[in-house]
Amino acid sequence: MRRPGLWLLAVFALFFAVPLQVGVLPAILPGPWSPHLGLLTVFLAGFLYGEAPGVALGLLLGILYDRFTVGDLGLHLLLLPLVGAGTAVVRRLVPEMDLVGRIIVLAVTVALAEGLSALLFDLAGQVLLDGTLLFRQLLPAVLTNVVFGALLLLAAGRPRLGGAR
Amino acid sequence: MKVRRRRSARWIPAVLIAAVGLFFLFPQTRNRPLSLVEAPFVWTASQLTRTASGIGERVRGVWSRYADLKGARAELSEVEGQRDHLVVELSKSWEEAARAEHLAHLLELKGRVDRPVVAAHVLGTDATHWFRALLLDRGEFDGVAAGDGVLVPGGVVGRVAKVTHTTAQVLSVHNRGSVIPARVQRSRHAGVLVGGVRPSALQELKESEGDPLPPPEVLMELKYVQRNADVVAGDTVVTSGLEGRFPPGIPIGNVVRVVRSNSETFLRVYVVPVLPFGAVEEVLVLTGEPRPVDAP
Repeated sequence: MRRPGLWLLAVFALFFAVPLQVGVLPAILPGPWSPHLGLLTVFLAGFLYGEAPGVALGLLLGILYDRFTVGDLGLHLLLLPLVGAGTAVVRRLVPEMDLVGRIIVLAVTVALAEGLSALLFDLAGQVLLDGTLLFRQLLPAVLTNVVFGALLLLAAGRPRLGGAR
Repeated sequence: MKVRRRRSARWIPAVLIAAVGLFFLFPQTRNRPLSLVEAPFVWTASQLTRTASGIGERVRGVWSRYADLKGARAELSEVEGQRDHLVVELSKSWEEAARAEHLAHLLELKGRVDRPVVAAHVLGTDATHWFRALLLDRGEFDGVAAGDGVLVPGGVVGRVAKVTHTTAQVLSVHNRGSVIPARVQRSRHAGVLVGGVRPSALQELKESEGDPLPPPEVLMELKYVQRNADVVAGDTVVTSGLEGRFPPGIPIGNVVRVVRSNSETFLRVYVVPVLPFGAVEEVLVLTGEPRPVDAP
């Protein structure tokens, strides 16, 4: 229990992320205006606590999210561990990062993840990646996730890399 | 000072004795000489009393009104509380009545459908924003399987895409990847209703004449309808029942635009769903083959 924040993220990922994402958030923030709780949780786990927690939570949430979407691909199982590992590597390479830097990393991560999702679902023939989708789905989703993620980063403060070690 | 007090003290018994004497000597003082003496005092006193009484009444009125106001305020607060409670109760009653009506319609639909069905409650939507899908509280344990049709009394919701032991994901009719055999109800021309439209079709739609189009994400296309078919905007598209997953005649959508081209064999018929997808709460899942008709 040396890293309470990580335990909090793990409990949230296991018990609350998917129920909130599927059952509660759509009633408050419809469609792309709803933050991707799985993506943000894994981002925080990787960015704040390192590769192992990022990948582990990415795998867990990847399985759960793929189970609760009609998409045929195991997209989340691929994407979320990558996000967890990638953000941890970025943080390790640039350990001293101010808030603006962290938000830039968040924005790039979210844009890459959402863009890759759209591209892969388009290749699988399940969504149609055109201008409409870009402006009505992709852009709002990226903006929403960056705003919510920035708030979470603010709330998390500035912990040292690897948590309280 | 002591001498003066003593003198006044002597006066007091004397005046009292005189008063008692006068009282006994003149029993009808009101009409007798004493009344002449007392009249001005009585008049003055009565005027003062009347004035005081008026002031008292006013004070009492003000006090009474204040008390009433205070009481009324408390009463108003209580009545407001009761009103709020009643509004909540009324809202609950309306909600229950609407739900009961909806369930009655579902029950009626269940009676009309020629195959086994499972009633399910909508738990939520898809975990991502890329798909228009619903999560149902019924799964394999209840007999639900991938590919099963999903209905409400107003029309077709979609088709079960994924199923777990206890839940099922329903892909809506207007999501890309949805395919349902359908026909135009009025002219009976059959085709295949496909969710989503191609970018080239969207461009073509924008250039074509007609009423303003709905958002592209709710558009569907009825394919393989002959070029000379009688189809116009406003026609209802219903299930044809050819595939066997849906009974025939269930509404799916309304035609919003028909594009005819001499260079193509088929019409381009664009359709929007009849159902407000976000408002669906209870559904029926068609879980089996049509029941055999008993021989006479």
